[in-house]
Amino acid sequence: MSEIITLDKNSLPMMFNAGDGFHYEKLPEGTRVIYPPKPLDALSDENVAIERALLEPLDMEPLHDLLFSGMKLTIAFDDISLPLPPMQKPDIRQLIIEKVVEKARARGVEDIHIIAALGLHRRMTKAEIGHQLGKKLMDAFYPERLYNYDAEDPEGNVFVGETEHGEEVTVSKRVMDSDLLVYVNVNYIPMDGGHKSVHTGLSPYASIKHHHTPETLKNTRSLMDPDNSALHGSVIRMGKVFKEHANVFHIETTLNNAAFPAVFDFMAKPEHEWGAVTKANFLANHEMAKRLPSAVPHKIFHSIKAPHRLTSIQAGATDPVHKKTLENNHAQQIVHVEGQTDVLMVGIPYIGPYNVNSIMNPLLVYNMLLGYIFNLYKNKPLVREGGVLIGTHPMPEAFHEIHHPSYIDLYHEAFSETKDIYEIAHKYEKRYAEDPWYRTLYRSSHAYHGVHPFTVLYWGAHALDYLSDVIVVGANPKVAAHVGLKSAPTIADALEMAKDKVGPSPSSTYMHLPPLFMCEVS
Amino acid sequence: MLKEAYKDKNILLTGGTGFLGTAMVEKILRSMPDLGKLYLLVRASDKKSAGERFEEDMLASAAFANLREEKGESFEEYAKEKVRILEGDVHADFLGLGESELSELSENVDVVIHSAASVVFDAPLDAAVGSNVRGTLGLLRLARGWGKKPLFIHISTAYVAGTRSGMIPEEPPLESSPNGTYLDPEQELVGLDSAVREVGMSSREREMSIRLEADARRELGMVGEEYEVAERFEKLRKAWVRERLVERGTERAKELGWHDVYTFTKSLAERMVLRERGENPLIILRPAIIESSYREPYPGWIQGSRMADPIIMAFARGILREFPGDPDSLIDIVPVDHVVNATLAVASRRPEEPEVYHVASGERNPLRYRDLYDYVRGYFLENPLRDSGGRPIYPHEWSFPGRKVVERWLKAEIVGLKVANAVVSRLPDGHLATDLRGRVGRADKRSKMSLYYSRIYGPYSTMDSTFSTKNTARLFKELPEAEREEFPFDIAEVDWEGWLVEAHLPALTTRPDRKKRRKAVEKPGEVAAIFDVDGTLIGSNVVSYYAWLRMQEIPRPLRPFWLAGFLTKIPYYWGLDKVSRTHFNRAFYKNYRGWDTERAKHLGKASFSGFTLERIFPEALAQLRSHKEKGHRVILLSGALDFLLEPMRDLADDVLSAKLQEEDGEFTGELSGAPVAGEARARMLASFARRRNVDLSKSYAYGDSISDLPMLEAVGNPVAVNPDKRLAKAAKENGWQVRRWKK
Repeated sequence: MSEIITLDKNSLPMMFNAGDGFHYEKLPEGTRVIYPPKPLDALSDENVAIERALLEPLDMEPLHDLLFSGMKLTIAFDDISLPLPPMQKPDIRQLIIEKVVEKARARGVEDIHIIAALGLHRRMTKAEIGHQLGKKLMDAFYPERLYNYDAEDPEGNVFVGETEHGEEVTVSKRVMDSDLLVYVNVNYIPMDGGHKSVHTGLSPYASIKHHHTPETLKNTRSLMDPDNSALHGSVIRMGKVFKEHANVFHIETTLNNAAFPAVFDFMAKPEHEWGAVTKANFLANHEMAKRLPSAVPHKIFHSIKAPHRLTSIQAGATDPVHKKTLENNHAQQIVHVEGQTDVLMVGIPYIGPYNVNSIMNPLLVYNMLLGYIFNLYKNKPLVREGGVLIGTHPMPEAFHEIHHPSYIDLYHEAFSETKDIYEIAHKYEKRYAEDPWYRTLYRSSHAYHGVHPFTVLYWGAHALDYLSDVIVVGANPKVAAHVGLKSAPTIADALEMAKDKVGPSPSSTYMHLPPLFMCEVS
Repeated sequence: MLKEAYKDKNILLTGGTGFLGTAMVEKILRSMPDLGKLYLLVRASDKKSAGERFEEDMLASAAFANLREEKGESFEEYAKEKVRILEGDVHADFLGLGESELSELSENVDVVIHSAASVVFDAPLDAAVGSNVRGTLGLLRLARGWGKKPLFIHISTAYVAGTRSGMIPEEPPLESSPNGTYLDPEQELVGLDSAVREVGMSSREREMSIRLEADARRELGMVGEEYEVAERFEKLRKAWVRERLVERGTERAKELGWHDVYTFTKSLAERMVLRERGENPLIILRPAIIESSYREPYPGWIQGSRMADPIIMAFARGILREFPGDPDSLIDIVPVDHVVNATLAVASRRPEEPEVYHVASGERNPLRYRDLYDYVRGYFLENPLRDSGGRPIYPHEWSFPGRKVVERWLKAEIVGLKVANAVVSRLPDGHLATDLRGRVGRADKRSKMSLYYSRIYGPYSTMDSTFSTKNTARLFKELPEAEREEFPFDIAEVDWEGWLVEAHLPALTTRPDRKKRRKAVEKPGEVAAIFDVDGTLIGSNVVSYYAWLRMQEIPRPLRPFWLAGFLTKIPYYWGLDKVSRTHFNRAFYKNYRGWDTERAKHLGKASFSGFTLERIFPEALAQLRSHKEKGHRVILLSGALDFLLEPMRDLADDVLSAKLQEEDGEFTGELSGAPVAGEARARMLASFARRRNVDLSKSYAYGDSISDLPMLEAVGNPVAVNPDKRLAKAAKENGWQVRRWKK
C-alpha cells in the first residue's frame, strides 16, 4: 500500500511541508523516503454504517434499548483538534449525533445535552461548532443545550474517586448526573479515543495533571501506541474508576487519509509520480508561499477542508470498541519499515491539533515536531537512539493573541530563563494553571487553558531524552534557539551538522508527511 | 526632709497608668529609692493582666526611658522590687482585691494618693458619678479601717470652683454650689441616681423602640440583614441613652453653677470625702490644666491628649477659624512634673485638719489666651501640619470677637447650612448634588466641631477667676534648697513660650496618633483593590454594551438602521448622565424591559469575547493582577449589569454590580436595589468592608468619573483613571494619583 524508495543520483528534489509554505531540496543519494499509504476505500453508505453500529454494539445493548423516557442523556463529541484538516461537510460527528438524537427522541428522551469535549482546549466559536454539527442540531440545541465543556466551572465538575495510584478522577457534573453518556469520537490517530476521551475531554486540570506530566510523557513509547504509553496507562486506570459510576456508550470512527482536495494533490503524491501539471501546481504554490505576505498562504491553507471519509465505525463499551478502532486505524496508517535511521527528516505541516483556524506558534512547532511527529511509531522509533531529527518550518515569532495568550507569556517568561522543561514545569506550571486572567480567557473568550502550553511541551519529553539533536531547517534562528532547538538554512547544512552527532556517513530517512501515518519499525 | 519622710513608708496609688499617675510612678522610682513599697492598683484589660499592663505598657512607656538607661539591666528588677501591682478596680467592692491583699494594705499603707478619675467633660452622668464619686468613696471607706490611718490625698481639679469669680482660695468647699445654691451632696447623689434610672426606662418605651428600629433599618439601607438590624438597634438605643445621660449631667451641672459634669462630680467627691474622712488626715490637691512636663522625665513628655490640646490642634488644622474666648482671659496650665512634685511634697504631711492646695499658674505666672495664640500660631506658621495630600495647612488669624459673637456666628452658619442641606437633599442624586453635599457636609462638620469646642472649652476660656496658690507656694518655700531643686514646683519658674515651642507643641505634633495606635492592635483588616469597570478597566460604557447586545439580536443587514435610530437618543442620555449617574442608570436600564433573562445571560457571556476583550486596558489588567499577586482582595464595583460582569468573575474575589428585576423569565427594566453609583456605591462598599473586615484606609480604588468620587474618597489609596474633567479637578485638589490607561 505504501511506498518506500531509496534516492539515487538522479532522483528529483523532495518537497517538504514547512508551515504555511514548502521547502524543496534535493536529498543525498541513499536517502530512504517513506510515503504515506494511499487512502483506503471509504464505506459506501455512512448512514447505513452508523445505523448498524448503533444496532449491533460491542458488549452492550443496542443504543435504543439504553434510552428511556425521563432519562438524562449527554452526548459528547471531539473538538476541533480532530481531524486534520477539518473535514468537509457533513462532518461525521453531525451524522452520528443526528442519528443518536433521532433515536433518543423516538424513545421520548427530552433532557439531552450535547457537549464539545474540549478539555483544556479553547472554546469553539459558534461557527466552528456549526461546521461540525450542522444547522439542524444548532437550531435545536445551541446555546442552552449544546455548548463547550468548561473545566474551570466550579459547579460544573465533580470528584468521582481516585485510582489505585492516587490519581484524582474528576469529571463534568452533567456527565455524572446523566443516565447515559454517548461519546462520539473521530479517531484520526491512534493516540485518541478510548478512555482518554473522557479523562482529557471532560475533565478539569485536577485530573489531567496526573497524566500530562513530563515524567509520564517521557515514559510514553509511544503516544501513538496506547499499550506502551504511560499516559494511556493513567487514563485507563481513571477509566476503571469512572466506569463504576457512569454508563458510557462509546462511538468511535476511523477516517481514511484523504487529507487534501484535488487542487493540493502534490501533498500526498510521491514526487516521481508528479506530471507536469502537478509539478507546476506545486511550484506555483511554493512561489506563492515565498512571495506573498504570509497572511495570504496562511488563509488559503487554513481554509482547506479535507475530503476524509469514514472507513469504519464501531460502538458499545469503551474497551472493545477502542481495540477495534485501533485495528482499523492501523490498517490505514501503519507502514512497515525495516531498520532505524541515524537521521530522520520530516516536513512540519501548517496545521496541528492546536492551531486549527489559528497560528502554529513556536511552542506548537516544538510540539508538532518532538511530540506529534516523532511519536508516529510503533515498536521503536524510526530514528535510532542518539540520532538526529530534522524538521522543516520557518518558525516565525508569531502567536495568536486570542487563542494562545498563556503561550505568549510562557515563551517570553520561561524560555528566557531556561530551556529545561522539567525546570519550567516545576517553576511555572502551578502559577499558569491557576492564573485568574488565563482562567477568564479560557472560560469566556476562546483561549487555551493557562496550563495548556505546558502539556504541549511535555509531549517532547521522550524525544528530548532520546535524540542527540533536533534541527529545524528554514527556522528563524533566534526563535529556534529561544526554545532550545538548532536551526539551519538548508537540509544539506542540517545534515552536515548532524554528522557531529551520528558520524561522517549517516543513514538518512525522509518520512514524507502529511497526511499523517505511522511507522512500525522492525 | 522629703526623702527622709518617705523612708520605709508605703504608698498606695490609684490611677497609676494615667498621665499623672505614670509621671508619679516614674518620679517615685527615680527620686525615692528609700521608699518602702509603692502599691499600684491597676485594672486588667481585655487582653492583659494588671501585671502585664504594668510591665508591657507602663514600663515600656517613653516616660521611663531615661531611668531605664540610668539603671541599665537592673531596671526591671528594681522596678518590680519597689512596685507591688494589685490587680483590682476602684469601682469594685473592696477594690476587687482578695483578703490577703487587703490585709497587706491595711498593715502597710501610710499614704493613699487617689488619682483615678474620669476626665471627660461630657461624660454620661452615670459614668461620671461612678468613677469620680463612688470610686473615691469606696477607696476612702476602706482606708478608714486600715491600721496606720493613712493620709488620704484626693487629687481633684481647680475648676471645681465652677462659675465663681475672683480669687479662689485654697479651702474646702462650702455648703453651697458655685452659684450659691445650697447643696447636700448625699441627697444630690440620690437625685442623680434616679435621673439615670429614668433615662434607662424611657429608652425601652414602645414609641422609642419603634423609632429606633426604623432608624436602624434606614441606616443599614439595602444591605441590612435581620441580625444586623437587631445589633444596630441595640447600638442606637445605647447611643440614645448615653446622649440623654450626657445632657442630664450637663444640665444639672449648669443649674448648680458648674461648667460641666466633670467638675460637678469632682466637687461632689470633695464634699463627700470631707464628710466621710473619719480619723484619717485628708489633703485635697487641685491642679489646673495639666499639660506636658517642663523637665521630667524629659521636657514635653505627654501621654494622651490633654485638655488644651484638642483646641490647639483644631486651630492648627484650620478647623477652629475663630476663637470663642476673651484673649485676655487666663488659660491656667501647669506642667505635669510640677503636679507630681507638689503631690509628693504634700504627701509627707499629716495635717490634723483637711488641707487644700492649688497647683495652678494664674496667680503667679499667668498665661493669657492672646499669648498662647501668638506662640502657637508662630509655631505652626513655621511648622505647619499637612493635609492628606501632603500640602501645608496654615492656621487662620483670629480676631477674638468674644465667645458670644463667635457662637452666634457659628449658630447662624449652622442654620444656614441646614437650609443648604435641605435644598441639596432635594436635588436629584448626581455628581452636582454629591459635590454640593460634600461641601455642605464638610462646612457643617467644621461649624459643629467649632461650636462643640466653644461649648465645652469656652467656659475655661472666659474665666474671670484666679486660683490662689498661697499654700502651695509656702509649701515649696519650706523645702530645703536641695529638695527644691530635686522636686521643683514653683510655677513662677516656667517660661511659657520656651515650653510651648520647644517642648509641648513638638510633642503634640510628632507623637503617633492614638487612634492609629489602637487600630494597629486590632485584627488587621484585609487590603482590597476596588475597580470600577466601565471606563476604568474597560474602554466602554453602559450604552455601548447595550448597543452591542442589541445588535446581536438583529440580522446583520438591518443593524445600521437600528443604530441610526438609537443614536438619536444618545444626547438625551448623555445629558442625563451629566446631571446624575443614578438617574441615568435607572432611565437607561428600562431599555432592557422584556428581555429574556436566559438569553441575556448567554449574550453576556458572548459579550466577553465579542466586545469586552478588545476593549480591556492592558495596564488596568496588569494593575489588577499585581494586586492579586500581592494577596489583596480584588473587588469589581460597577454600575454595569451582573450578567455582563459574570465572565470577569474569575478575575476578582468579589463582584458588586447592578441587577435587574426579573419576572417570568423576563427583565422588568427596573433595577433591583439602588443603582450602584455615587453615594450608593460608597455605602455599598462601606457595608461590604464592614462585613468582610476590609480595611478601607489601606485599600486602593480605581475610578474614572465624578460619580466614582465617593468611592475614591472612602479608601486610603485612591487612583483616578482617565478621569473626566470634574474628577480630574477633585483628584488634583486632593493630591490623588492620576493614571492614563490606553487600549
